[in-house]
Amino acid sequence: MSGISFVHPEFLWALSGLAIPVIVHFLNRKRSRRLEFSTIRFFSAGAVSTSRMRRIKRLLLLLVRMAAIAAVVVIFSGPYSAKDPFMVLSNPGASVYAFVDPTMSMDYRDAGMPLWKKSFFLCDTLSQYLPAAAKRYLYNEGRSEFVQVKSFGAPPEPFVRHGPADIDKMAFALPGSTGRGAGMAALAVLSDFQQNIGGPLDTMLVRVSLPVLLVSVAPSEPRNCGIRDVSLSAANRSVITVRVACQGRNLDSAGISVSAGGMRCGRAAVSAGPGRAENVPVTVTADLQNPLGTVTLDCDDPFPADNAWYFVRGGGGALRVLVVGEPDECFPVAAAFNSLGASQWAAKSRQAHIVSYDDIDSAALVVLCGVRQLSPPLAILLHNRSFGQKAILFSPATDSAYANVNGTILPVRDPASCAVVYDPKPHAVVLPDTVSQLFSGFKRLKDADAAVSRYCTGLPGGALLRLDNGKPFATHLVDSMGNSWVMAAAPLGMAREARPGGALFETGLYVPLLDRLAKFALSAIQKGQQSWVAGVPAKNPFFGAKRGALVFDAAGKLISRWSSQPLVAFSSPGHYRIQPDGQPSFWVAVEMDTAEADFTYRAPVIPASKAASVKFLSSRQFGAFVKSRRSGSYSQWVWIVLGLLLLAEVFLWEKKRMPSSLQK
Amino acid sequence: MSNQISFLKPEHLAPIRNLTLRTKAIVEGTIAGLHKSPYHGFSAQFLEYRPYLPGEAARRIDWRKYAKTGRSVVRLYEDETNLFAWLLLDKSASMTFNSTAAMSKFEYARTLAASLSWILVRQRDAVGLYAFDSGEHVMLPPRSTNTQLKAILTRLETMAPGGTTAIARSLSRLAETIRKRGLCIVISDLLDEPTAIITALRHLRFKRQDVMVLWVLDPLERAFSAAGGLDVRDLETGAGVAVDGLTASEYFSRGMLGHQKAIEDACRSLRIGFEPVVTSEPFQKALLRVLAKRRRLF
Repeated sequence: MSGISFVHPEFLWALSGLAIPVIVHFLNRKRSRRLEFSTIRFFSAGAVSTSRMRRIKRLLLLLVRMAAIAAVVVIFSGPYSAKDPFMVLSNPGASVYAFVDPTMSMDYRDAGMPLWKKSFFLCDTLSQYLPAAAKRYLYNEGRSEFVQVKSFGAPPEPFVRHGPADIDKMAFALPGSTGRGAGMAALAVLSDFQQNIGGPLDTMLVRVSLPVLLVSVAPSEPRNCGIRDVSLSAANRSVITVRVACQGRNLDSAGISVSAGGMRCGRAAVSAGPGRAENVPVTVTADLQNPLGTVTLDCDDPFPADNAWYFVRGGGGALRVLVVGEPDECFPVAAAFNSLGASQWAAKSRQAHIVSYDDIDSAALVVLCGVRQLSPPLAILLHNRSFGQKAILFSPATDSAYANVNGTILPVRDPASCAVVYDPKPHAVVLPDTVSQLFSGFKRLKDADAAVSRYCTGLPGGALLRLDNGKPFATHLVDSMGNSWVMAAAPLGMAREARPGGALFETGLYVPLLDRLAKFALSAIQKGQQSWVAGVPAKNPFFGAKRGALVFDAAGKLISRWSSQPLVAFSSPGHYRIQPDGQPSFWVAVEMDTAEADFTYRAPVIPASKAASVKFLSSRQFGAFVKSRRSGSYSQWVWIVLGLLLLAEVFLWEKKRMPSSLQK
Repeated sequence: MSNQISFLKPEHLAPIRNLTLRTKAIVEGTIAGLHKSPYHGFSAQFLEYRPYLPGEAARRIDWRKYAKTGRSVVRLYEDETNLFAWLLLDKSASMTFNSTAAMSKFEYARTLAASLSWILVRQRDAVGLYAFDSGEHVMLPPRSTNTQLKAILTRLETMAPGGTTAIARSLSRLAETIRKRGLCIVISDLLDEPTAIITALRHLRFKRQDVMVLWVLDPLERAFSAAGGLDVRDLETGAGVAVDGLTASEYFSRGMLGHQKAIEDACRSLRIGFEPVVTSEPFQKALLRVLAKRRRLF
């Protein structure tokens, strides 16, 4: 009995009622009286044995009645296993935390009801079975904390939908995670348990110490069709390739519509089988003049969110360029980038000793222009992975005093291998034969206009451009940190030492050369225009820029202001207009996370040590599970026992029959 | 007719200790309720006159005598006075059982016997008494005199019940002694083996006796009902058995039903009148019922 406890132990006082059948039994029990009778001839041995059986039956009946009363009392007391951690749900002092998966996959409509609504409906069920005094907390994704609520039936305010399922944050907000005792607490996680949530959830289950109810609201047979990707061909602007995938259903001759600026400009039919993905080329009737494009898949399925895809031609905002070096040397470089248009490049220059971490972090491209000393942020950029992959454009210092610094900056094993040489005869950059990939279609220039006489040798990486003497002028290398280096042999900015030749910035080649070199460096690590996914936080493009931007939706409604926050996110897919302070606005397309449209589910891996305190339930099992904790986990067994006892009572009870008359 | 009679219940007669007085009270009430006498002669041999009794058929009045004397008298014939009736009374210990405050079965039976004796002697029939048990028995051969009636009443009054029931042996012994055709009225609780009882009754019938059995029952024997444990002791043998009330009720009721059926069926086949009489029943009612049945049978 040590393993059994009771929800309402005070009801056990009613066990004193066991005395009632005993008292009644003894009151009804008559003493055996002597009867002097005329004959005993009719009382055979059978009567004696029957009497003995009756006495035993009466005793059994007494025991059955006592047991039945005990069973009723025990049912009201709510017996449960003391080892069951989920009995905390029946404790009035309990704190119950609920987390409803806010991801977009919860928009799937199962039997006409979105999964997130179904989750709150189940939460409400949980709330109803909880004791009134129990505290209820609902996770608020926007505030990243559990907020106390009166009932679980409604989403919290504000309820951020389509946000990422940041399980780590949620786990951190739980009691016990920050040293506070978990106490009488339990957590209910309601989700469809897609594959992408599985990993963080598995980690959380290892960490948390409180009982966890994992309730799956996933549909048993998900079926969905949607757009997975849209490719805009740079060569042929009249064709758009749409990738359509189907899961659990057929798609028969569904229509794909392409519209630009609200006007339909293309249409195609698509058919696909379950588990198949088809690439459908859609020919647009006219070139997409309007930059805002939408691709729509016309089909009826329970998850319509992935039936639209948004794109923007030529949009995305300017790429930020950080030019590090002395102001006089940096000026031509920054000016060259900015001259290409504010919608393409936004360059700023910093001296090496004052460049900050935020400057480097916010820049897509770092131009090291004659750097002669490494400040700590630059050292981290070159020797650490803290900033992630960066595109670096290297312009050497060729003055004799600092020429040896180049070797310490470049990703070379032997710094001495990089030396600055002077050739009185200027050497022109050979275009475009050696670097067709870089200057494809570029207008051929007079070689003498781009000639240098003082240049660096021993540059690492593959040559992109060569001088007419065969020496590399520009090379490319992705270093061990993942940074994409494009290294120039001669200064791209203004050189300090007077020299004949070597003033590239004075040539017509200079600006396009920088543009192409920068884009090549970015493309090598697949960086460029920032892509946006609904619900997924991304780096604020204005972070550290000392200026912010207003964000408008497609209808022109102001939805946010981006200023100094490091991460920003869009809540739902669509077109958005970004209005930077003092700069022209630009459009971005926000797509939905295609991982959310992949309805492949995975049950969390419950650690063996948490098998008792972590339960994975379907939505059908959830109600019964919670109810059983309300009434005691052993109650159903006691009900069965009570039923058997009542059955035994019926069998054992006998009506006192009046003897029939002797005379007919 | 019976509704017009105010029956005296046994509990009303129980305080009358004197059997003669008790019998007289019963008989007067009974005679008054009779429409006609069940006993009438067939012989033309005149014996004497007797006063007309209320309830007798008017055709039996001697109208000539009435015209001469103005008195209503009835002519008696020789055969009518020579009806030999035996009252066979069971005086075994089982007859002493009494579950009521009124009378035991023996008390009731001997009152019944006395009443029948009175009626028979009053009708000038010869009546005898044979009280029996397993031990000694009392035997008064039938006579129709008032002295005989007094003797019967005296013996009945002084008689003490005891011993076990031995109907078969006792009745067979009596049957051996009977020479003349007559009437035997057996008053007993018949708590013996049905086959032995039937054998004895058959023996009496073989001796050309009209037999009538008055089965005297206590109300508890009629409808046995008890609760709780019972330690039942046999009044005759002293043997005991421990049963519970419900089981005892079931077994006794079933056993008694079978017992009654066996004897009743045998009586029907032997043309023997069989009449259960419960000791709670008023005597007059019982007597009238018995006499009426007797009239139907013969």
